[in-house]
Amino acid sequence: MDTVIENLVHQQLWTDCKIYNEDANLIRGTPPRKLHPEDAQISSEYVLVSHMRDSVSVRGYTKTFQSVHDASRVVHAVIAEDSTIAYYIVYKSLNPPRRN
Amino acid sequence: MFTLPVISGTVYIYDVEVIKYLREKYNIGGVLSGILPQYPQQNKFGGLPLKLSPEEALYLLETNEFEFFDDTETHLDEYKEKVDEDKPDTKNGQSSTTSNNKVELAVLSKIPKRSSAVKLKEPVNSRYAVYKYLVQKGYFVLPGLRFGCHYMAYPGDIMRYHSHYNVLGLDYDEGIDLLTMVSGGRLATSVKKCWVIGAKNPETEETEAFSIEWSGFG
Repeated sequence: MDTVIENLVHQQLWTDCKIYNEDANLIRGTPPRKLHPEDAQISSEYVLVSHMRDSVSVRGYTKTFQSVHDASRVVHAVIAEDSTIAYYIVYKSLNPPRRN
Repeated sequence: MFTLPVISGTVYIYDVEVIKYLREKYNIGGVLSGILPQYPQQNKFGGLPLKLSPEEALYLLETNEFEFFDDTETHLDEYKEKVDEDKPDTKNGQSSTTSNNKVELAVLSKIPKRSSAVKLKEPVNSRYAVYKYLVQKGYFVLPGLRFGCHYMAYPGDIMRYHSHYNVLGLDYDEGIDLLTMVSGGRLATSVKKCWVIGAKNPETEETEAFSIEWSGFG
């Protein structure tokens, strides 16, 4: 989690990054720009942290969304052995792809 | 009530009107699996019959508007007949009478033998829940092989729209390798789609789904 916070703050230039829920591997922070072109404004986001050797399941995501209450999306950070980090956005139910 | 033929566990539809009806009322596109006689060398556009996937067949069965009958034997008979015709005729004198009998037999065998116990190929259970979830939301669902998933979901008729989702139908606790998520999400995002995983919650019987796209950074 600390690795992801450092990456968010120093490489992706996020602000106010804090551990939100240690047990659920969740961070909360604010990105420097809108995450989705159709967002009205920049808002604070939840970041789920997992390691490449972990796996995801529908139950797992459901649990994650239960711990972020009202949020409709979560950023999923995946750390690999060599410390590269990939960021994906996970939406609850079906979310149309972005138009570009 | 429509009656549809099942050949070796698969539903094939030979009637254009039925195909149109399925498309308009149930968002079921199926796959045209015949060739176009004028252009036998291409496979971009198929002709009759329309082949239904196990999911589509089961979905139609559940609407109670369709019944199925086993038509396998008719097709086998016709196949055998064609093979026999190709064999060189040794008795020249009797050829005209035997071919007349053959025609009569062929007509008789075309009357299908109806039975209530028709064996349909069964879809994978966990996937079917996700298939149903998509169709009931109004999506057209096609097989997902070309994009490395189980289903491709189109927001409307497949001739008018590009697909929106590459979907995996899973068990609720089925673990997905993160490398699979990364490659699925990356591929879908690069072709302007979303990668979706769905499963039926065994406790609530509701189907839950999540859409995943690349964030645009990192």
